[in-house]
Amino acid sequence: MLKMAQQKAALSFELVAKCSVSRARASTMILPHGPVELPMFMPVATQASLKGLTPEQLESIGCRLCLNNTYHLGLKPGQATLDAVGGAHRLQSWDHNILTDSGGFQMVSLLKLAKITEEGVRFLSPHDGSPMLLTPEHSMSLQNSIGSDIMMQLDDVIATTSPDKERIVEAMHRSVRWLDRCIEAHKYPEKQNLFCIIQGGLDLDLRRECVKEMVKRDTPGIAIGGLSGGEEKAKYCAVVRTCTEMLPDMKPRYVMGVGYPEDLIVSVALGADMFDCVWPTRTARFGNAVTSRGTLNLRHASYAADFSPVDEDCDCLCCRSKEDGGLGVTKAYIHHLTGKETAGAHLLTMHNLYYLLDLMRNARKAIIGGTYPSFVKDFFGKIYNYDKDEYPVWAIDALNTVGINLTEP
Amino acid sequence: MNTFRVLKTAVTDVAATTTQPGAATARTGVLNLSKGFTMQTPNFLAPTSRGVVPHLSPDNLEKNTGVEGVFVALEDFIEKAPQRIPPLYTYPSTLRSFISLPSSTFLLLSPRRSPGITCPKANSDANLSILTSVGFRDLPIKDYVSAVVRLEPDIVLGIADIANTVSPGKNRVQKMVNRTEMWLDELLKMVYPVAAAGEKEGDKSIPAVFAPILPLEKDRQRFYLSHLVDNVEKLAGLVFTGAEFVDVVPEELAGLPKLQSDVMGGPHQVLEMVGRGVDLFNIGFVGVMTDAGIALHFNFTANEVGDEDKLELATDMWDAKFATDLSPLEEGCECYTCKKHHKAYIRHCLEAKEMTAWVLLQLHNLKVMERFFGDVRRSIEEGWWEKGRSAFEKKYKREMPEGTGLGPRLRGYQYKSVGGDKKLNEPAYRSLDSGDEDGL
Repeated sequence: MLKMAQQKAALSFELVAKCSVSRARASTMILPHGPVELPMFMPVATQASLKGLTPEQLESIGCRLCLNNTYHLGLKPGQATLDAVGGAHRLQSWDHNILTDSGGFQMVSLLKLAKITEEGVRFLSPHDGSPMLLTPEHSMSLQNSIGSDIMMQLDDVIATTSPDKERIVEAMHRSVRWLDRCIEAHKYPEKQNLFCIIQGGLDLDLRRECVKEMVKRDTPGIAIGGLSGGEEKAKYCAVVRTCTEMLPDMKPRYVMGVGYPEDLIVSVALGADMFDCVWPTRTARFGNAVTSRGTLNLRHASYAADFSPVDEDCDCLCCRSKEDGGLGVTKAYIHHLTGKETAGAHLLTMHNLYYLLDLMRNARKAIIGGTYPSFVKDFFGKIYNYDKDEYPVWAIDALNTVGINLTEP
Repeated sequence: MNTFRVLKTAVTDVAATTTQPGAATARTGVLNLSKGFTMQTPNFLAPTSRGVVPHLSPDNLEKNTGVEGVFVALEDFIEKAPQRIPPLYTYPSTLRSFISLPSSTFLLLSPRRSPGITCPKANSDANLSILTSVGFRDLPIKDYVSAVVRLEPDIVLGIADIANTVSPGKNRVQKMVNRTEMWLDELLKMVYPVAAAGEKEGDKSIPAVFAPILPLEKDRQRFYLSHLVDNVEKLAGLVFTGAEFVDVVPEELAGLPKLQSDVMGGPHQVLEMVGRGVDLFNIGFVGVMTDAGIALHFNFTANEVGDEDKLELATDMWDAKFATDLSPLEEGCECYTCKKHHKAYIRHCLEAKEMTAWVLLQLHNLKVMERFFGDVRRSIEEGWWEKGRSAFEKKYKREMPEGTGLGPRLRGYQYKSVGGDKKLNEPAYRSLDSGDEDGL
């Protein structure tokens, strides 16, 4: 235990400002491939490529930390190739930071194929059906080969909506044991940061117990996992709030799998710093634009002749007019391309990511400027046209617990 | 004004100079378009699909390629017209603005893609048969002609009435010739309206009209050709499909730039056509190579090589031997892909079916073409064209390599179903626990 209490960290964390009302924080984290400003949204480049964008394009929208999936990179190009190439940064020519998951999430998403034992997870490769075993040691070894700046422990993930209480308890305890095995197996703690993942389903006492155990291990950062799997938003918020309450101030907090703009804004108020989700990029490929007025399905015929920019309030490359040095892409043009030419997906992917990155940049500015509560009110007001009856109840309730009253002017 | 000036004609060997004067040879020229675009020829246009150079968002096209002109088909934009008015027709600005085309790139408008999918229905006097993303439709000639004014292309192609059969009979040929002439006249009437009183010529920028040359022997279209000669003042260029028909161009039209709109055969075909005096090329084969995961790497130089085996023109990047190869697609290449990425990444992205693979290949392949045409122009200007051409023939294999991997997802509007076809796209995943190999 003593050894664990002196975890090495390959990052430094500076708390820049705290909201005087809510628990929102602005911070700066210096990682091996440069500093990143929190709160932030991290785009997901699943297979070491961000869905048709070049690293140059990803960089140009301000991304300095993106995700790769260990599970996918373990299958393609495979560990031997990663070792030969010299890691994922060199593979994709990305000079900024990379965070990798542990492969554990695929237990939920591919549960039909997976069998979990104390040793690890047995599953069939979806590519060729061959049996594979993912242990904490193997996950660490893969992530060491990838060379990610932040690596995640292998955790025992089960859907929070699972009715099997005993299984949830077991998964929480197993995740703690697996963290110990991950710490033991991690080869480069001086250049890669290992984050723990808090589990415990929707049971707040279980979450508290897990936080205590995980915090003892003193990892450089802490993730709240197992959420965003279809649970009620109110319960999601309760879990995040319960965890952040107990977490040390001076470590980054990462809520996994969250990407809806409203969820980000509320979670930041609850004290979370980092988020990732495939939703903005996936939904872009289906022709959905994430905007300050909500999500627009640009495939709908009503946009066929809508010649306004994708988001009038956005100043990303796509939305800016030609006169302002942008591309002047209209809703009609995205409608024309969606599902037919991939360049349409690339444009909308860039816009959606820019929107989320910029949302977090503005949140950070508001926190530093001491105006986060009114920033939150403006954000909801815009989406719901200031019609307070339309505001989601879960958001009103969650924000109330941290002193932001959405329904007040 | 749209002008074309021949700068230099290639020095040819003795045998060639004994043929009749005016026989076409390689030449360099400069094409000036009325909106200020200038293009050195021989040069290429990049084919587009639905207004984009496939795989390239407009920012990538502008920043990372040297594409100077694009070939855009109206059939990509008009879906259910005339039952439903296409958004493009109500768009308050130009086609270039609709597709966010970089301001340094000029736009050529064609009624159809080139090569277009053959339509089951024949053309009529008033309609051209086309394929939109919702199926085979009619494009009324008057719609195309009036679209030209609104859409403000820099170059507009006249419409050719081309028979679906390889060897049309006498009556069909008659129709081809008559309709093509009639349709060209309609277009010219629209582009050059009878000058209203007080209106000075040159007030407005006028699209450059390229008249089609029909895929027929010279004497079968001689009346049409002489009609072109009569209207030479109004023509800015000629466009043709199929290699053999470039030679039917009468001497009076020799000063016009010639565009071959369906170059599918690769660089050897381009060189052959340059040698016959063709100036502009719509390079369809490049997109085919990109989609197949193939990287081009050929150079046009005066250096002869020995008797070694001929070199490949391109390489299939699906090959597993590139899995850990950290060298660029082509040593010394100045494209974004080669400066920033390596073979291992391209191969990984292809294998993982990540769209970035085709983005990076397209950027590289277009750069190869840019360099190739630059060298061809230089060879003509510096007097080593013939030498370069024979060196190229000796140095490189004639055929492009066959693709082995799967391309990006195919779209229905790119193909004509002939019945009983296999699925265009393999399923990406299948169920493992069904026990059924096909996952059905």
